Amino acid sequence: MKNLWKKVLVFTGLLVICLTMVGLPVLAAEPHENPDAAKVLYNGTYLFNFYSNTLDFILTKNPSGVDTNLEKAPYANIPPVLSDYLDGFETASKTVCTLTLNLDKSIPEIKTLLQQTRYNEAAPLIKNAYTNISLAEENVTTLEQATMVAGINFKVPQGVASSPISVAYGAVLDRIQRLRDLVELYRNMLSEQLGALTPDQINALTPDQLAKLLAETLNKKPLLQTQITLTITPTEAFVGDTIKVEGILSSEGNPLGNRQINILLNGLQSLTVNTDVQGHYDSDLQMPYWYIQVIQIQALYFPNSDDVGVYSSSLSPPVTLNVLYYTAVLTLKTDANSYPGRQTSIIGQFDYGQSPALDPRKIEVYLDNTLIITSGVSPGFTEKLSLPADMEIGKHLITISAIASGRYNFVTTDAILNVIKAIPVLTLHLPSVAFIPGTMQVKGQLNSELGPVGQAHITMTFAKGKADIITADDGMFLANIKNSMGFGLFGSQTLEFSAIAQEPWQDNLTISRKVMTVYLVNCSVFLLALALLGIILPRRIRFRRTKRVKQEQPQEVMMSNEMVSESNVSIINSILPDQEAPNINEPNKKLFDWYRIIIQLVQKVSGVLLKPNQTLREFVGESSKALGLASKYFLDFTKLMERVLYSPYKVTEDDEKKSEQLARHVRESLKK
Amino acid sequence: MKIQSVLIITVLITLVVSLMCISLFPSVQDFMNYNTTWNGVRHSLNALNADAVDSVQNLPAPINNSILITIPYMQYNNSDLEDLKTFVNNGGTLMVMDDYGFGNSILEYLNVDCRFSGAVLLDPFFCYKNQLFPEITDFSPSISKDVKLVVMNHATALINVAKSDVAAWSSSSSFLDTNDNGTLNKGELQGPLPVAARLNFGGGTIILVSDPSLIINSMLGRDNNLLFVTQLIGPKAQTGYVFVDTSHVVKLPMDITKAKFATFKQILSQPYLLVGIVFIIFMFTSIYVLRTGGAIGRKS
Repeated sequence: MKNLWKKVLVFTGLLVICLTMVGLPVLAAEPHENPDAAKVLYNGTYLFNFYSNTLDFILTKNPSGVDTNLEKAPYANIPPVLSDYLDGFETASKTVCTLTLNLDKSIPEIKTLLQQTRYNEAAPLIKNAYTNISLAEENVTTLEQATMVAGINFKVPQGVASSPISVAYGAVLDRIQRLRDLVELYRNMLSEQLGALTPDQINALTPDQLAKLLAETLNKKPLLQTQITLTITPTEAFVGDTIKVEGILSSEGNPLGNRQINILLNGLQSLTVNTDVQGHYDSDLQMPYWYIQVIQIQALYFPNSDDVGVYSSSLSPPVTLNVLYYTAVLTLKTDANSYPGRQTSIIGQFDYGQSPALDPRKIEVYLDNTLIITSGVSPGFTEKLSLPADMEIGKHLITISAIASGRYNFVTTDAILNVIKAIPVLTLHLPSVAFIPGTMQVKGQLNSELGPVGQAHITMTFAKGKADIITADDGMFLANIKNSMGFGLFGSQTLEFSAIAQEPWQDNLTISRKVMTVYLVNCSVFLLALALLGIILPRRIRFRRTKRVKQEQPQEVMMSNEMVSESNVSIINSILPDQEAPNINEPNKKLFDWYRIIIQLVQKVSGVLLKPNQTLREFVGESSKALGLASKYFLDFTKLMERVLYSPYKVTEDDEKKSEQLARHVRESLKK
Repeated sequence: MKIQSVLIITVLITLVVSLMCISLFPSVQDFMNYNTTWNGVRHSLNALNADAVDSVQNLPAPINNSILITIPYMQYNNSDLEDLKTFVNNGGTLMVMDDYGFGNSILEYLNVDCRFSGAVLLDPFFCYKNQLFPEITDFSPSISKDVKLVVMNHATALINVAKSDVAAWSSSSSFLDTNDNGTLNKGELQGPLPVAARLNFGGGTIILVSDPSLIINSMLGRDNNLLFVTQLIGPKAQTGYVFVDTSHVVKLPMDITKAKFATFKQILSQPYLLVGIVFIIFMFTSIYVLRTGGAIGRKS
């Protein structure tokens, strides 16, 4: 048997393994690996390539390329120890790029100013250029340091010179050297312009001192100072109007004729005019369409051709021109709510105040900063906008810009467009009670503030039933929900209702309603069961009682089975042979029957139960107090029983009669 | 004890232990909806508010409001492919997430030019931990600015995709390692390479993602992966019904048994069937007891 159980255990184990076995994936390539357990690997070659790319953008003067390349730097997979150096490289790259661009612009400008002997304007630019060169040199050093630390970290110096990482590292250092050369070139270009002046001298001087020193240093003999005047007529003009500019150019009281004068508007050259033999110049100047309140006008002279090295440049004091133009206030009003896929109205009003109105006026309409309409409108206008069907719900910005035209300045105004979806309102007609099994008819209508919700997909679930329907164009719907059997008798069930609108301006709706539900079959079965229990059970109980009474009548003992516990009957049965015992003769049986009846009677009267571990004599002793006179007869009967039970004594007819007599005595005595 | 009784006991013990194992042991298979470990999709389904389905037919929602995510790691038969075509033609959104599987058979059947490369996409510089986890930081304007970083896991790239359809690109330091040697060699495609695309097809939309691992439990919550997937799906991700087709991922006997056991439990949960089973058990027990005979509560 032991071997059999072993086999059973092995067989069971094998079956369990077969049912729950873990196999290997079928695909040849690994579709993924646990990211938390993945090995960390860094690639120095790609870091140096990244550095090289950044430096290439600097060398090609491409600041947007530098920014685009560097904005991904935080996502680079590099050793944590290099993180700060990468940040330093990022900052230094951006700074060097900006500085080189500034120097590219300022050095030619300085050159021009110095050629025109405009030392006062050139001096601050020169000082600034030297500062930029020093800063650029410092930042190139930072770039080099970041590269070298990375090289040490990736053990480049110890590696083979021809390895990819060494080549990439060398390429970065090569570019850094080219940057150094570039900065050095700027320094040389500037030095060439300044003659014998050293950077230390320049740094120590103020701009005025530097301008004076430049004039002294760069010219072989002292220059003749020039003076230039400027007057404008009128001093107030509309944009686009023409004004007259005039003045005189002289040098130490002598007029300078046939010289070129530049008229500057807010520092920008806008007109060139020549002086006559008296040094006088005049011209008409058309005002630009600059919608600003004032413009500073200046006249500039700088020496050309033969004048170079003879005369100094001169700039007239600024003259202020008050600029006039028309303005308007644009007010916008939008619909309280707008809906995706539908038109919305924007009402606008231009208020020109005392100025004449411009009609029509060109406007541009922007939705979230995207141009959507251009049109010509009158001072009071209404624009209809068709909103996209997939427009996001929420607040959107509408901007209307009336572009500048002639004397009319541009005007722009924003308004908020509140885009929402119309919330459907459901009118639902449900039966007051739903019966299961059966079909529940549900009808209703979906409406919203925009009208009926047509062609909406409605799903209704109730108990185990489900209905999918489409609403009619007027929003009406009618559905029959078939419900199959379930557990339960009656109570409320939830009807889940969901509507998915097809029109983009209508919102979806999900609600639930309670419906009183009666499970017809279950209730019927339950009622039937109750009826059966109510009718059959009492009859059955009555029948069983009657039968028991009839069985007990021959012994004339007024006892019911219910009064003797099952446990005591079993005790007696365990002590006494069964009625049907085949080896017991008839007198013997009668004797035992009488004694069993008497024990039951004694138990009932005395309240003392015959315990399994008790002898008959002990039971007599325990119950005797409650029996009174009957105890004597009960003891005699017990003695007779002990003799029959525990000795080979054969029961005689006299014993039988005696037992009946003793039983009657016990009963009679107990009656008293 | 009779040999017949021993066999019955054995079978019963086997059944009970097996059912306990099936219930208690977690699935460890890739992309399995019962798998709660790193490579399953159990938590991801919850995050995407998605349900697992075993068939494209009879989706429990209107097609034009449904999104079906499929991971084609097993070959599709013509019937399945036709179902997918019908689904997309009728306005459904089909998201095919594949790297080294059978995604191209779907694209061929749908007569779409794009393909999954099938070669491993490596990015030695912009990556998480190592080059097998490329980091994606370039997105088309259709993906919101909130999506800044997506991390992939043993991905591939898309090829033959129109520029206007691309939703995301790998970095310029990435490449397709066609010869599987882990380094960039001559002739291997270099980044930026498309890794996600969105195409209009029939009445619906096809979304291609070159890494199904994006939605495994250990990846979906990483960086902006979840937001990226929902952005790819579009507004339907909020209002529609998302389903993940588990019929074409590789299943182990354990997973098949788990699925069948789940179906069996669902069937058993029907009240009348339960009553019937209880009745049958009661009847057989009664018959057995009556045949055996004897009395209850009395010594024989």
